[in-house]
Formats: sequence, structure tokens, C-alpha cells
Amino acid sequence: MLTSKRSQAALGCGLVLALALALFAYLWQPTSHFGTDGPELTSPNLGGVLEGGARIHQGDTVTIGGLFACLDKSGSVKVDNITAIHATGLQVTGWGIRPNPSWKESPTTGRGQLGISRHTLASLQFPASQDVDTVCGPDGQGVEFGMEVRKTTSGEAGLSAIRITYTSGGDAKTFVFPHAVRLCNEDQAWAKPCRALKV
Amino acid sequence: MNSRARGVVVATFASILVLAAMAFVPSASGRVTPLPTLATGHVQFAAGVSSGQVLAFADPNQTTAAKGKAGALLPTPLIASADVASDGSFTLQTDPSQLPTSTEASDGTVNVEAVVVSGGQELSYFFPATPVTTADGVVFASTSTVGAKTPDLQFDMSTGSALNARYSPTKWLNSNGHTSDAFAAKTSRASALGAATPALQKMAASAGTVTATTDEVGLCGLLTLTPDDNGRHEHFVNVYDDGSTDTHIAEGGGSTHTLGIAVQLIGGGWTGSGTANISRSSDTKVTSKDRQHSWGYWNKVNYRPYRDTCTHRDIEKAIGFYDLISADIDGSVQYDFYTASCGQKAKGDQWDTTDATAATFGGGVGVAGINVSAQAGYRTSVNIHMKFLEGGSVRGTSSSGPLNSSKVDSSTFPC
Repeated sequence: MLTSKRSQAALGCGLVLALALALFAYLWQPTSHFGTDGPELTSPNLGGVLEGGARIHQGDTVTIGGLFACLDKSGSVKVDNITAIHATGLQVTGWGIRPNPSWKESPTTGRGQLGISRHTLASLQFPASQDVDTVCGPDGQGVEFGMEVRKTTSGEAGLSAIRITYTSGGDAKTFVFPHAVRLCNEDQAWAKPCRALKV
Repeated sequence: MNSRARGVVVATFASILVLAAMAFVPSASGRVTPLPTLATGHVQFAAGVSSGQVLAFADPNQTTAAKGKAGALLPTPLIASADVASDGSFTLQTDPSQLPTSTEASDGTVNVEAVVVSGGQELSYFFPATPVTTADGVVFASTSTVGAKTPDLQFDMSTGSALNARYSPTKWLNSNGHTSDAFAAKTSRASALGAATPALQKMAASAGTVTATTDEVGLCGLLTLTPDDNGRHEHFVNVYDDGSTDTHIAEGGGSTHTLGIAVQLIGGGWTGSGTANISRSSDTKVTSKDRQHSWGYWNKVNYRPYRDTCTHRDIEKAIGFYDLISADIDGSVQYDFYTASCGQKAKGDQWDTTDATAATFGGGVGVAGINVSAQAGYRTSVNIHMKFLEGGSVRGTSSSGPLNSSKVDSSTFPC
């Protein structure tokens, strides 16, 4: 009998708590938490990398690529911005999205993805679209992001990762590539002055 | 979804959460939170047999094993047991907080031997399991796999086959990017049934009632034999370079290796039977020389022979490292050229992996006259460093790109 009363009391408390939570959700309405179940960017088996570019000097513009992503399910997302995390000595001057060249050949780089390309987004002929609507597939179906940066320092420049912010089904979402970069003045990116830059 | 509907969904969800919590929180009626699952699995019974039990023993950890001298009996406490259901399924559960410290690695991993007793026969299989904290609480996982998952053990009491379906060398990739060959798959399987000893029969008779971790200490154990089998060659990784780069590899301080175990019924032949984890614990990383051609890298591992006092099998299992990376066994290897993806590189550029994936490093180790499975680099401890002496490319085995590939090479060819 004691156990039964205790269970009834606990059930009552639980229902009160549930109603309180429902009221809270009704008033608060945080769309980023309860929005739709739209697709998300993903990059299967993605590994981290530290990439160094040689002979890149103040005022030079390069485009950083090799950033592959695809959607985890059908639908579409809109990329809002691509930014550098912990950037030093550089400025992001643009970004673009193109089909993964391994999947669909590029008019400028053929089947090759970008490393640290010494070209601008415009000369690489990245399309203007901000949308990604390709579901992951076995043949590299997806996109390659490119981030154009200008070196603003006479020293060494770098960044520790690259962040994609995008909107899916009304929700703001984020995807981060563990892709660190150094832009080095020297003829070799492994030269000591450039290695000294912590990214 | 509009906001009213959202509120209804939340209310329903919260109600379910509360009721679920009531069902699992300790109460006056004696209900308790279920123990974490150590492993699930299935037993295919032999003809004419319809019952069985599964016993799980914890092997001594690396430190305890290394201290064991010849003749020492190292306890292997029973940490879980279960009756096999009529459909062959079973679930082993244990409390990670109650595991003896002599069996736990620094990350909580415990190397387990699961033994099925059924129809007077026994069949054993070794697997490492690591307690991982998740949103649902602590769960055990085969962390040496890509994507930690609860071990799924499959025993066939007719053929003597046993394996962990969550840890399959058949999922590893060869240098051509295709899955591994059958030899690697066989080496992680047990393939010998033995007669269940009286000790096992006794423990099996009370399966499901023993959940404490120390009740059976001393009843089963590993008797340390001699001589040690030091310096067994573990094929670690091949680096493919056509001369375009100076390339070296580095292995960090806390790398974990998953190494195959060899077992034999006394007087019988050796066979592989699952795996166990050992870790290198050091603050210093080991770095190879810079090389301008393809090179195979090896480690050396120390194995030690034991006799299992409960299964009456002889066992060879790894207890530590003899040497890392510097063991150049066959040196130069044939260059592999990958074509699934390509990333352009300029002269003077550098490209370093910073968290290699499991499939990148998979080889084998020769022990007891057979080759058993070996895998390393699951975590962020093994990296490849490429310095481009001339313009070229990094090529990978995945069409998603070199950064998504299990294997890469450096090439003088542009993309």
C-alpha cells in the first residue's frame, strides 16, 4: 500500500513537471532546437590535416579547398558563411561551392580538388550558388567548399579550422572542418619560422 | 511545425521521460537501474542441444601481466554471466565501476574472454571493451572499431566459429582501397571447440546469478608460461611516395594497438581467437626518418604464453611493445597509386594528417606460427607528414577526397 501511494505521488509529480516543460516550450519557442528535421552537412570519414603553403606573401590571395561535404538525407541547405577559426595574419575575402571534382569534373582543375590554390575564386570559376542539395553517395557525390583569403601580414599567417554556417529547414547550423593552414613566406612550408606559428 | 504542435510534442516527450525515469530509478519496490551491457550476441547451438551459458572473464591488464613471472597465476575474475535464450540470444552485463583495478587499462578498457558452455563443449573468444559515457549513461563499446559500438559476439557450437561482428577485419581496406582478404578475416576467429572443464561446468550452472566482480577470483586464471615471445613483428603502416616528397610518420605517446590472440587446445594446433588492446604510455612520440620512396613500417610486440586454468587452452597474447617504428623489416615497398581522389600541391607545400583513422593502419602480426590480426592508430596518435620537394598531388582511396580516405599517397603527377 505504501509503495502504491508513493508511485501515485511520483506519477503526479511527473505529470506536473511535464506540463511545466510544455508551458516553457510554448512560451520560449527556440526554433534552433525544435525546428524542422532538415538535412545536415556531413563528411564521412573526414580526417584532420595541417596544410602549409610556401612562398605566400603579404597581399597575396589564395583559395583554400579540399573541403568535402554532402547531405545526410535528401533536401537542400543554404550556406550562409564560411569563416576561419583562430585566424591570424589573413582576411577571408570570399567563399564558394562547387561540385566535388572527383564526382563532376571542374572546368579549371579537372578531377583535382584544391589544396592551397594560388588563384582567386573567380579565376577558378566557382559557381555563385549558395545551396547544397547533394546527398552523400558512393562516387563522391557532394561539394567542395573553397575559401578565398588574402594574407595581410608580412610575417606568417594561419588558421586552425574552417567553419561553415548554414540554414536547414529554418534552423541555423554549423559544420567545422578540422583543417589547419599556414601561409608561409619561405620556399618551404616546413621552414622553422613558419613552423613556429601555432595554429 | 507550429508552436502549439511543438508544445504538445514536448509535453508528450516529457511525460514519457518522467515515466521512464520512474521505471528505472531505485524505489521501495526494489527496481534498480540496469547494468551497462558488456556484450550482446548469439549462440548457434549444436545439433540436439537447446541451452547454454556464457561466461565473461576479465584478463589482467598490461601492468599486471607484465609483472607476472613464470609460474605466476594471474586471476581472471568472472565479471558477467548469462543464460542463453532458446533463440540463441544472450546479453552480458556488468558494472564498470566494480571491475577490479588489476584488469582495467588507464582508459577503463578491459580485455575480456567470453566462453560459451553448451552441450558439454566450450568455445571462447577474446575482445576488448571500453566503458564510454553517453547521453544514455555508461555503455561498453568496441572502441577499436570505426564508430564505437557494443560488442556483438557470434558463436557457432557446430563449427567452432566465433567472432565479434562489431570488429571485423573484413571491413579494413587494402592498399587498393578494397576490403581486406579472407586471411585477415579468419585470423580474428576462433575455430576450435573444446570439452568444457568441470570448473567451467560449475560456473555455468550458476550463470546469471553471479554479477559481482570478485566472487570467483582465484577459480580461473592465466598461468604464466615461458619463454616470452618477444619482438614479434607487427606490420604497422606503408607510406607511398614516388619521390615527390620527403615523408615520415610519427606515433604519439598514447597510441593503442589492437592485437590478435593465438590459442590452442593443449596438443592441438594454433588458431586466432579475437583480440586484446595494449597501449603505449609515454610522453614522447616516435618519429621515423624522412624518406623519398615508399616504405613499410613495422613495430615489434612482446607476446607471452599462458595456460588458461579453466578452459585448459594455451594462449599467446601481447603484453607490451619491444620497439616502435624503427623496426625496418622489409624497408622499401612497392608504390601504390590511388585514383579515387586528388588534391593539388605546390612545390614547398606541406601536408600532415592530424588524426588518422583506423583503417589507415591495419596489418598483421606473426605469432605462434600463424598470422593474427593487428590494428593501430584508431585514435589521434599516428600521423603521416609529407613535404613536397616538387609540385604534385596527394591522392586518396575515397572519391570524397584525400582527407576522407583511409589511405593516401604522394605523387609527382598533377591532378
